[in-house]
Amino acid sequence: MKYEQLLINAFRNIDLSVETHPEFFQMWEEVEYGRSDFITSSGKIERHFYVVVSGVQAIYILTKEGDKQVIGFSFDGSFSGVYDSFLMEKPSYYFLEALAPTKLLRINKQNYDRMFEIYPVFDRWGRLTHQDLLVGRVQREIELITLSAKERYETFMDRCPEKLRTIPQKYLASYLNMTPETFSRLRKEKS
Amino acid sequence: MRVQIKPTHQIQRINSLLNQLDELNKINPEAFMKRPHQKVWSGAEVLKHMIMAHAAYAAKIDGALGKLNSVKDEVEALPTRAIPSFLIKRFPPKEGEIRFKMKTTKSFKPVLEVDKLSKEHVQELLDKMKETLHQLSGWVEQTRKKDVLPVRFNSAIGAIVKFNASEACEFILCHNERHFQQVKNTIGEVDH
Repeated sequence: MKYEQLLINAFRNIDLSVETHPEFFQMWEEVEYGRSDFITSSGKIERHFYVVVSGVQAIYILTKEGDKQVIGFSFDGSFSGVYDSFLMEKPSYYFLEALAPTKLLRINKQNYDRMFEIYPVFDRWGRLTHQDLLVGRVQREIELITLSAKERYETFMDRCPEKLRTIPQKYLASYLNMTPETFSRLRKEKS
Repeated sequence: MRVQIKPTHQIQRINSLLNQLDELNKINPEAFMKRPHQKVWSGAEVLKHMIMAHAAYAAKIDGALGKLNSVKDEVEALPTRAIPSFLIKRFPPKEGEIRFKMKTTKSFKPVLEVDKLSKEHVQELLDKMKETLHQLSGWVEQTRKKDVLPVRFNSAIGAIVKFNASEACEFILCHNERHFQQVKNTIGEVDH
């Protein structure tokens, strides 16, 4: 397995090693996507959970008019996927799209469930990861409701990973719930 | 207002039809063999009609896609021209209601002997329908990454309406959405 260290870093809130968790490292396979490819599309069931080797991906829903409304991003070293569809094995509400050429490690549902069965330490990973996810979602909701467009822009840019600065602005604008024009104006004001 | 074609939205709508088709596959095939009234198509006939309409465009769309150049950025939205827009807008059902009753042309009438239909025949139609939806999805995926405007071809109506590949895909999709509603209505009627 070529990406042991990437997986160890991604699952950093627990102690993992090839010696102690050999089967875990064999559960992953590498997949590649081109720019603009759908990794998952709305209406299909997400069959995998991912760790990003390289590239940037956006997760979004479509409005009634068919326009993209970005919910979040994933990038090098982070987890990715349409988690609710994957867990519930129900059609996805979301699209997961590669915004740049993308390399991912993926695990299927059967192996994902098995990793909890054979290695109890993943219960801790699950608890901490779901805790982080929940806190992150609540924080985002609060920011969307309470902050002005300018404040949302500033807060996001303060913590925005370098990698996200390379993707088309319209995706960042959508994530911040503003028009691309507003995003562009705020960026000019700041530069 | 003219229809804007959004390929990502088209993919979502095709996936929705595939999920509806999975549900139709769970229904007793006999429900597809009955006509609710003498002058109304059975579910099997409606499926056959959709497959025929799809087939009428297959070679044209494949031919057009083969001639088109790729674009750097994904095509997010494409305006349709006036006549295709007029046609496309009339097709999809609205809130479960089929609007604008239309008469089909002779060449798209499904020639099936309803009283001789078998369960196997219904299954073949359902399988073929799935195949056509996957093919449509593949075409839309290609139109997301191509400049579709330079190549137009005659619609099934004739030279009076010309489509580019995206317009043809949207037409087929709207046509399918309309007739999926019809299949559900028909099966609901014969079930009671």
